[in-house]
Amino acid sequence: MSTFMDLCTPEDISPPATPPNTYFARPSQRQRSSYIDPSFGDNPTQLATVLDDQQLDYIRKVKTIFQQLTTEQKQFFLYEIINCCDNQQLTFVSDIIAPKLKIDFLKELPIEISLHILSFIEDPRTLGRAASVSTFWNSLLKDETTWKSLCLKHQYRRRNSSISGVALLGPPARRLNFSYREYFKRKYNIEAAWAQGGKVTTCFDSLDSGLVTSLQFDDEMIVVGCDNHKIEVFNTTTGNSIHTLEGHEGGVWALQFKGGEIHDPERLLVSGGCDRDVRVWDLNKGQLKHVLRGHTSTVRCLKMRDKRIAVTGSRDTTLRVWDLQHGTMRHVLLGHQASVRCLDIHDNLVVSGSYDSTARVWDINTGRCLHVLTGHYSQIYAIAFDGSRVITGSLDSNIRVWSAETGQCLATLHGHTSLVGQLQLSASTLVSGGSDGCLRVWDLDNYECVHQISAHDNSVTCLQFDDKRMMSGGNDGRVKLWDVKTGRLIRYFTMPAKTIWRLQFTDTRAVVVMQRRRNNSPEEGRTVMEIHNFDIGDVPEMLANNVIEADEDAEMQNMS
Amino acid sequence: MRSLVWPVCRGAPAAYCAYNKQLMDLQAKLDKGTELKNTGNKAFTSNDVKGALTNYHQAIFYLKGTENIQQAMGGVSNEQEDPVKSQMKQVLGTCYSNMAACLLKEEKWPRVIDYCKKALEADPKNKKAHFRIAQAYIRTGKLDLAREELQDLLRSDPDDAGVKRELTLLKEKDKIETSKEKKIYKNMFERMAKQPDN
Amino acid sequence: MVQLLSSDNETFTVDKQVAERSILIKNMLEDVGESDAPIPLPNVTAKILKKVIDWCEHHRGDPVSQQEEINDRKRLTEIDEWDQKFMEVDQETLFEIILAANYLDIKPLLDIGCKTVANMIKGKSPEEIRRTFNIVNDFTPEVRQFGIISHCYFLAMLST
Repeated sequence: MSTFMDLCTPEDISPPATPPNTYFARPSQRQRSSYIDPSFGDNPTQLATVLDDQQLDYIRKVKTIFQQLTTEQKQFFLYEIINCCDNQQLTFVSDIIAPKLKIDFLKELPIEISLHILSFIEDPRTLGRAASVSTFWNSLLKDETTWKSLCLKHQYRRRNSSISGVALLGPPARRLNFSYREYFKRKYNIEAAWAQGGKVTTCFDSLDSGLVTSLQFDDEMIVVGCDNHKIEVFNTTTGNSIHTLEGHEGGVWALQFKGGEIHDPERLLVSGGCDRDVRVWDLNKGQLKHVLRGHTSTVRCLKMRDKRIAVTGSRDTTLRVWDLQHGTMRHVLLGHQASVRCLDIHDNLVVSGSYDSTARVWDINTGRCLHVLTGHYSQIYAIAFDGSRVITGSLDSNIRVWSAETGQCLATLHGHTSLVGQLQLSASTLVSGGSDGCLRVWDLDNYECVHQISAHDNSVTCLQFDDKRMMSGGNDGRVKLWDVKTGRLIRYFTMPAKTIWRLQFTDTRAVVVMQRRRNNSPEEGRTVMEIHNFDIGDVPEMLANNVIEADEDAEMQNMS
Repeated sequence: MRSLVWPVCRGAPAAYCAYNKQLMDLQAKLDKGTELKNTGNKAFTSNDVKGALTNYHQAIFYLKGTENIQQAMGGVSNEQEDPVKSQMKQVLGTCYSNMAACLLKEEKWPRVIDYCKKALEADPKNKKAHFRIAQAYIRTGKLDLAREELQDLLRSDPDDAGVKRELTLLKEKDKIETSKEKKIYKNMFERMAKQPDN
Repeated sequence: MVQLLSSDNETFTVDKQVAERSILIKNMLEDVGESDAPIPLPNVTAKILKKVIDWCEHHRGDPVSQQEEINDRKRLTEIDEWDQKFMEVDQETLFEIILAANYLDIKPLLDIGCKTVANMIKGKSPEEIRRTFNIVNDFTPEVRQFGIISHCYFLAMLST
């Protein structure tokens, strides 16, 4: 025995994906959308051919009565009428009902659920198409929450976001003057430019043919230290030379600058080199502030703790702690038996790596040596320090991880087959580059090598990584861009050169200094600096290559 | 002609249980919810925590604003335009906040956090909810989150004794945490030092 | 055993474990303890409540996951077979299930419902989306010319 419910529940009527055919000749009423409303009252002339006046009058009365019935009565009435229909009429009824049962869910559901549904779409293209469905959809898809969740998915996290989840339902005006949509668009374009190539500015003339030893840049200035005793300062946007800082009487081997932020615009540069002097400059003005004398041999490495303290390491086996504001020396750190090749600073501790195959941990404030890290059996070339762990890379091809607190060696990382000259540490990830041309990515939680990449045909001369990508330059003249999570090559970064001196990148820019062959004499090299900019808005090549799908094209044609 | 088959209602004593029987409209739900909340409040003040919670839970069943599709389609979908819906939201927020207070007494900290979050969704300015969530954060080890909340509260009410008390407690907990960490690392290194070098 | 009362006065008796898939009910049972009185659910009709209970019965043994992994691609697109069949209902029922899952705070069911709807949008052109959900295209001709096209250009440009 079938019940009323079995006969008439909507479950039996499955909505078709396409609109029903015109069963009743009304081409004039066919709108753009699939919503078809065969309301008889609208077209009296056609009606007249179907029903006479008396019948029309009767139907109107029935309509009025029907609308006054209760729900149960209406259902009973409909039940009776439907039972009088034959199959053709039932199909007719079904075709009318089907679209009416469809629901514009974005409009009808509570907004948090609509946005939750949208959060399952991670393809921005789909969202783009959805945005052109109706004005309501369009306004909703412009909603910041959709873009915020898309930002999260693509990991374009905003550092100082104070928009909490609570603000989900508030109108955009109430929140900060920040548009997730614009942010996403910009970030997405930057990522795309990274993957395909951004705008490159190449500077040939300003650097002679000398060797470049050091490089640092920020949004405004690029500072390059050269073997020809000069420090060149360029404008990051244009590549034009701002100043040349002269004064060193020997090659500049190390430099660093700090400052240049909104709350701290003055830039202080510290440089050291073959002439054994350490010079302190006001970078913005291009003026020398102090000459710090003390070392008795080439200054090989230096790091600034902040704008007040810098530590230098020298071939004279000592390290010196300098007061940059007064231009005086605070401490001499004695202990190493050979050249101090590399150093790193964190808070009040300095770690140094030496050709005497030891590393040392020193206290900046007292000048005391806290630990001597012995274990390597050859010269140490690279060092990294995050406050608790010290990482050293050596000619003995090993990398060692030490505790800064106890001085114990926590682990030895084997893998490289030759000198490890490049190290960078970030949280629990260590990246090393060696003279074997290999890049290795290590997880310091379990001391395992996560990726091993044969990156270059010659030594790795410079590397840098962040949580997304890794860039390496080698003596083979190539710069390569890698995905740090998968270890796969993304692309070659520049045209081939003779050798890559230095590179650095930020979220939106990258600077590479290299030696290229001169056109007329391939034996000679010229030093070239390339500035890559990725924050350039819509990438023109991409627009040109863009293929709009056939249906979208037709859609747009229909619209006009 | 087919024979009429009247629908047989499953279980209900009333006449014809149609597929789409009239449901309580929003106003009725708001009224019922408010009534239950008030009963809950009375129970809370007379220290009947269980009774209070029962009433608050029941109130939530009525006030939690997801009407069915029919009502959604018929009514206004934008919450801010419908006064009944916004009132419902308000009462709901109060219920959550008061439930958090009840559970604070019972020291069920994770739930306090949940309910405070829901209360804050309804009314981000609910200071009591901010305070209670801070208390719960401290007692579940989420010290940074607690600090944020307490500092915000202190800014708007610099003389609040309760906030100050919690901040002192937070500082103490902080000290314990860092000394605990130091101990852990110390032990770890000592153990490692005893192991042979690899 | 727990008794649930739908908005149209129908009572359903379910295992406590099944009922507790709804966090709303679970919290109440935890705070207040069990009682003989049925739990009134004024926002869910019997028809939908039955569907929801069916789902909870089938998934009664599932682990309750605390954190949703946003970056997990699989979780974004895949729905298991049983759930797919479960969601093969007309749109009205589908949306009612979503609303009920939201109301009763059954996150996995809510997610499946939302994923199902999201899948109904993916890969469709705007016209197809309109047909699926019976939406009227109410853009003015000027907006169609510029507003959407530029938006579409930008988004169409993003290739996966």
